[in-house]
Amino acid sequence: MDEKLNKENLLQEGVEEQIKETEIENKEEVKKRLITLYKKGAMCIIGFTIIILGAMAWFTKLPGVGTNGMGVTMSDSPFELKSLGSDGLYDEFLSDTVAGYENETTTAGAYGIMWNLTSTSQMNNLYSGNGELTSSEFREITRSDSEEYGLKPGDNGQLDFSIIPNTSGISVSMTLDVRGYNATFDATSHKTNDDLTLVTDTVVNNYKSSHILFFYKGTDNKKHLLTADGFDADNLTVETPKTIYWVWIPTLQQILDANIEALEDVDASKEVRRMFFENPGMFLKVTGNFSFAGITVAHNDDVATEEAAIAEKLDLVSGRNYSTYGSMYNDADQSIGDHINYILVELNAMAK
Amino acid sequence: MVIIDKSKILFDRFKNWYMNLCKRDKILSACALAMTIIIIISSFTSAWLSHQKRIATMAKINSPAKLSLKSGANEDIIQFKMAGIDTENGNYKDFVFCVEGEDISNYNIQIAHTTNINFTYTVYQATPDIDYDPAVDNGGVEYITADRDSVYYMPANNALSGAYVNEQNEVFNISGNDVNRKIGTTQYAEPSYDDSSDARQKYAEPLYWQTNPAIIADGTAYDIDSHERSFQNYYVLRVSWGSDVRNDKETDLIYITAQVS
Repeated sequence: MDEKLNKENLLQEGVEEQIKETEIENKEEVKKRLITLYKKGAMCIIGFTIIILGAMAWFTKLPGVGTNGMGVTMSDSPFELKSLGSDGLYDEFLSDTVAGYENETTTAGAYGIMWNLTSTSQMNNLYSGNGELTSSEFREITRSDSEEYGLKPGDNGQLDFSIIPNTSGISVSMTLDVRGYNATFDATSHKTNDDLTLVTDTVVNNYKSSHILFFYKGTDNKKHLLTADGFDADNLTVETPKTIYWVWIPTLQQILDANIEALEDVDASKEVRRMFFENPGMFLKVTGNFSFAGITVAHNDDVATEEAAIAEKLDLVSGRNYSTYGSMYNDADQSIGDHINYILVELNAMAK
Repeated sequence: MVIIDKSKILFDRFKNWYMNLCKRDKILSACALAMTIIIIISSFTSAWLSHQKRIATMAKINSPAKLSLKSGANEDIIQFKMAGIDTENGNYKDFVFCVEGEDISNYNIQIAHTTNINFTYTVYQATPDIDYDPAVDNGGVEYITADRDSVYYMPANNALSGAYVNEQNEVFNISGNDVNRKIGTTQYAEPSYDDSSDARQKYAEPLYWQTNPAIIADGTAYDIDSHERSFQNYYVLRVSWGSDVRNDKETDLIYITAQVS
C-alpha cells in the first residue's frame, strides 16, 4: 500500500515537473514571439507613419510634382511671391542669420526671397543716399548709437508684395513672424562681425509684439490686426498685390483713444485697444509687483460687449491715471530699444 | 498570429532570395532600394516645400536716447535750485547741473530764458574735485547736497561754445545811462492772439541759446554685457550781471534742456 502510494506520489511529482517545464518553455516561446511581435510592430508603426505622411504630402502636393519612372519631375509651385524694388540695407545680416533666402524678385525656384523695397514699401531700411553706399558709411549706420535707417516709436509704413498664382483659383494662407535679434558692438560702438543672436526674453518679445504692430487689408477693404492666425487670399486667378501695414504706436494715449494716427482706421485702432485691455502686461513695463487685474478685460467674441467693458475701465487708465500707465508704456518702448537691435519680419505663405 | 506568420514567411522568402544573390547583385539591390526610398521621400518633401514660400526683410531698431538732466553730486534734478542770487554782492553766481546718458555720441545743451532781468547766462564744463579745500583752493563751485554736504566742481577756463538763435539788442536807459541788453525776437513764436498784433510783452519773449558745435559725450567705454556706453558730464551755469542790475523784485524763467544731436 505504502509502496503504491510512493509510486503515485513520484508519478505526480514527475507530472508536475513536466508541467512546470512545459510552462517555462511556453513562457519562453511567448516571450520570443512577443519580441518578434514588438519588432514587427515597430516596423509596422514606422511604415504606417511613412504611409500617413506620404498620403498627407500626396494629397497636399501640387499637381505638377511627381515621379516618372526613376526620375522626379518638379514643376512650378501653385503660387509665387514677388516684390519689386531695391535691396534692403540689412539684407546681409538677414542672409547671415537665416538660411534659405535668395536675392530674387520672385520665389520661382527658391524657397524664400528677401523683400525688395521702394521709397513707399520699406521699414526705414532702404538706402536713400546718393550713389553707392560705402562700407565705411554702412559701418557708421550700424553703430549702436546711430539713429540713421532705424525704427523708433511713431514710425510707420507699409510693405508691398504680390502673389502670382500658377494654378488658377489657388488660395493662400499667410502668417507673419517677427523676431528680435541682438548685435554686439566694439569699444567704439561699431557693430562687430559676430552673428546676430535671437532675443529669447519673453517679456521683451511681448513688448515688441504689442508696440510694433502689423495690419492687413481684409476683403472688407479695412485694416485688421495681423495676429498669429494670419490672413488668407482666396481664389487667386491673376497676380494680386498685397500690403502689410506696420506701425510702432508712439503713445498709450493713441491706443486708449482708439485713434492710432498712422492707421487712419478706427476699427483697427479698436482692435488694438481690445488687445491692450485683454493683455495690459504685454504693453506696459512694471518693476516689482504690480497687478493689472483691475484694468484687464476678458476677451469676448461679442465685440460690443467687450467694448462696453472697456469703456468702463478707460478712466482707470486715462485722465489723472495716465501719467502712471503712459510712463509704463514708454518704459516698455525703452526696453525694446535696449534689448533688440534688429527685427526680422518674415511672411510665410502656404497654399491652402 | 496568422498575419505575423505569413509576414514571417514572406520576410524569410525575401531573406533567402537576397542571401542567394551574388555579391554584385546584393550591392545593386541595396542601392536600388535606398535610391527608391530617397526618391520617394524627396518627391514628397519637394511637394511639401514647394507649397510654402517666404519673403522677409530685416530692420534696425534705434536705441532710444537716454539723456537726462541731474543736479550736482548725482542727485535728482529736483535738487537743482537757482536761489540766493544777490546782485549787490559780487557779479556772478554759479549753479551746478549734470547731463547724463547712455549710447549717445553728441548732444546739445539748450537754454531758454525770459529777459526781465539783464542777466548773462554762461555754461562751463566742470569736473568734480573731491580733494578741493575751499580754505586753500580757488575757483571751485560749491554744490550743497540734500544731506548738507559740500561737493566741489572746477569749471573749465572757457565757456561752452554756443549762440542765441533769436536775439536782438535793445538799448535800455537806467538813471541816465544807456545799457545794452539782449531780448528775444518773435521769429520762433506763434502769435498769441491774431496775426496783426504783437500782444506779448517783449521781455517775456524767451531768448533761445544752444551749444554749437554739439558736445561730444565724454563717458565710459562701451560695456559689452550691458550694451551700453554711459556718461555723466557736469556743468556750471554762471549767472552774471553788470552794475545796472539791482535787487529788484523781478522774476525770470529759465529752462535748461539737453537734446541728442
